[in-house]
Amino acid sequence: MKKMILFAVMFMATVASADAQTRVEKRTVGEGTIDYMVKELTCDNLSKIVSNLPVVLRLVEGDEGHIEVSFPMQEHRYIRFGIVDGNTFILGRDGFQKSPKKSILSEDTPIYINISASNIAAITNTSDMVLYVERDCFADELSIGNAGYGFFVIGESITADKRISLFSNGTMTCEVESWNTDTLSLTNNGYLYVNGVTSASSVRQISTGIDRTTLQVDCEKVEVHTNGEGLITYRGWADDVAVYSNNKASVRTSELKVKP
Amino acid sequence: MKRLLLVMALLVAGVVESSAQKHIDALLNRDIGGVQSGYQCTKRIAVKRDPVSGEVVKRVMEVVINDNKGLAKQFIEAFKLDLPTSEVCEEQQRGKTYVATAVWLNPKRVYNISVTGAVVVVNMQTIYREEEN
Repeated sequence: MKKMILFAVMFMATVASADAQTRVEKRTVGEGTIDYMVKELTCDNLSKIVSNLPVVLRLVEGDEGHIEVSFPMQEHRYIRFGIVDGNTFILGRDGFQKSPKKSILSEDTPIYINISASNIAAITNTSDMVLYVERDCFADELSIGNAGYGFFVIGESITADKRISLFSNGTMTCEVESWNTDTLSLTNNGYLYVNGVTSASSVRQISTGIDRTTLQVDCEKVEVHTNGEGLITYRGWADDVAVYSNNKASVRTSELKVKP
Repeated sequence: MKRLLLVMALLVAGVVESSAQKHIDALLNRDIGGVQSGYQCTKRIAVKRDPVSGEVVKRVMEVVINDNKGLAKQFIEAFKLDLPTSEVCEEQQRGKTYVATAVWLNPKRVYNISVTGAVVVVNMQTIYREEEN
């Protein structure tokens, strides 16, 4: 019932945005081309993004609140997207339509979304997503959640002044050079790859999954709780280090030093 | 000549000091994990700083290991090897329980170990400057 209501809201939101600009573009896929329908919409106060379909999401420079969605033309009957609660962009299948017999949506022919917003606080993926952070401008607290089978986060830096939280129940790979925040929290029940440098004064990692973490820190506290597997390496400076482990994961903290 | 002797003495003292707990420290400081049949391990390291100057006055480490008899034996052996170099030590073995305390000076280092069967608790403190009450 909840799903029905959600999709009804999304449907209405889509209808409400029907006056948005629409055009058709051709995109090269492999050796052929596919018609993509491009829709533009705006949201003045966009702070959350939820995707249930294969997506390439780019956070780009541009007019505040501008959203551009490109999707394969032949899927247009089955896809619904729009703004709910005035601040959340949702993308998913149309709950009233039967799923297409042969959907062409995949990581090779995904939906492309470009968003220009400076106050994003939450991004949630339950399918397959590549997130390019070209505009490093987020709310003070940012949460990136993944329950999908593939989530790549790619960017030079991610900045959220107070807190950055990563949650992964699926497979999540972050190629981000710099995590700029006060508190960095990594929670993983699936597979999580994180590397780079962080300015966080507190780093907390909790895992029952498989980790591949290499972080350079300069902080007060590093805390690792793991019942999972993999390799977790912290380098740099930390006054307080705590590791709680069942010893299946290799936790390397011996390169952490106390500031003189 | 005096200076040379002083430098030599300091050097020797430094070497003795750094190697005084080498067997215990080798076990304490090694990275944990990568074990097929896992056992629970907790490792905490923290420093206390002078609130005014920010200098480190105390460093504390606590390691708790559950369910690893082999490692428990290694810790006992390491303590037995390093205890003779300590200034003050106390050692007790009662049945399955081994308890030892050792103190080294300059800087003051206090090592406590308690092993019961396969459970190890090691507590280490390095006191660089005694705090005023």
